[in-house]
Amino acid sequence: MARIPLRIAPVNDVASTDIPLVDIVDRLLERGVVLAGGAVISVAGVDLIELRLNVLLASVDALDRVERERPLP
Amino acid sequence: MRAIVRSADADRSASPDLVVVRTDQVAALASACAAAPEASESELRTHDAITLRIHSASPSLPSRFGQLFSDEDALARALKEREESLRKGLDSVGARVELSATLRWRDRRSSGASAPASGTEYLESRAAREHERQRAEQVVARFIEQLPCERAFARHRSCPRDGVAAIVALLVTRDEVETMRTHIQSFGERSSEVTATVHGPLPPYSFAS
Repeated sequence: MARIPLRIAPVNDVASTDIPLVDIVDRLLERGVVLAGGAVISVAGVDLIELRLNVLLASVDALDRVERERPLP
Repeated sequence: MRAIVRSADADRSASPDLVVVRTDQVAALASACAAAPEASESELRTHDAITLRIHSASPSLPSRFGQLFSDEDALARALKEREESLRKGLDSVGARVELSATLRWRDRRSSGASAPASGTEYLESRAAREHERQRAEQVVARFIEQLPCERAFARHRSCPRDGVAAIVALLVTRDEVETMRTHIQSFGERSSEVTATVHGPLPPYSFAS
């Protein structure tokens, strides 16, 4: 993490507010391109509980799907 | 990281708050940060807004939230490893946008968060969930059938959370957005089982992997 911080610039985008947070969480944490980098999320306060719960639910859902799609022996 | 674009489009999508890391065919747009991104509502909505802005400027594959690279070299290496598949992804998605339709049960009672008191209760609740999932799949099949789009451009998740039958992502051209919105809303009005809410146009999160 040595080089990027030297180029920090303010983020100007106004956050969208018309989409419910739960829908945004579903989309942003479960979908989208994933490269080989580390997915590191820092969570604090109340968000910690809500986010951890959502991540857990997503994982269970994914496992459930894999289980259903697994061919019978 | 915020999104992937074609190298040729990088300058059009770039802005002073974004770092551009290129390979021959694709480029990653990222925000510099001193620490791991905090998953607050504000950060999530900001990521959403930035990916939307990038996709408005040129075709892109939005990044999942929270992908952190130690520096630009690390990002460049990861980008290089997946360059070909990312280029193909950009070619197939093109300038299309995603519409997200949330189908909510009209008659859904909350399942509650309490743990089952017995094995029988557990099995009953599991059977009820499976029945609900099958019912949701039938609703989604009818929903997609009446839309003027190819099945390949629709992806869905059944019963993602309490009260929601399915979230269906549709990949459409910008010209098709209003027509598709009308079809989705019309389905919700006619259905006795679900209501339908549309969000978008959005970057193609569900079609980028």
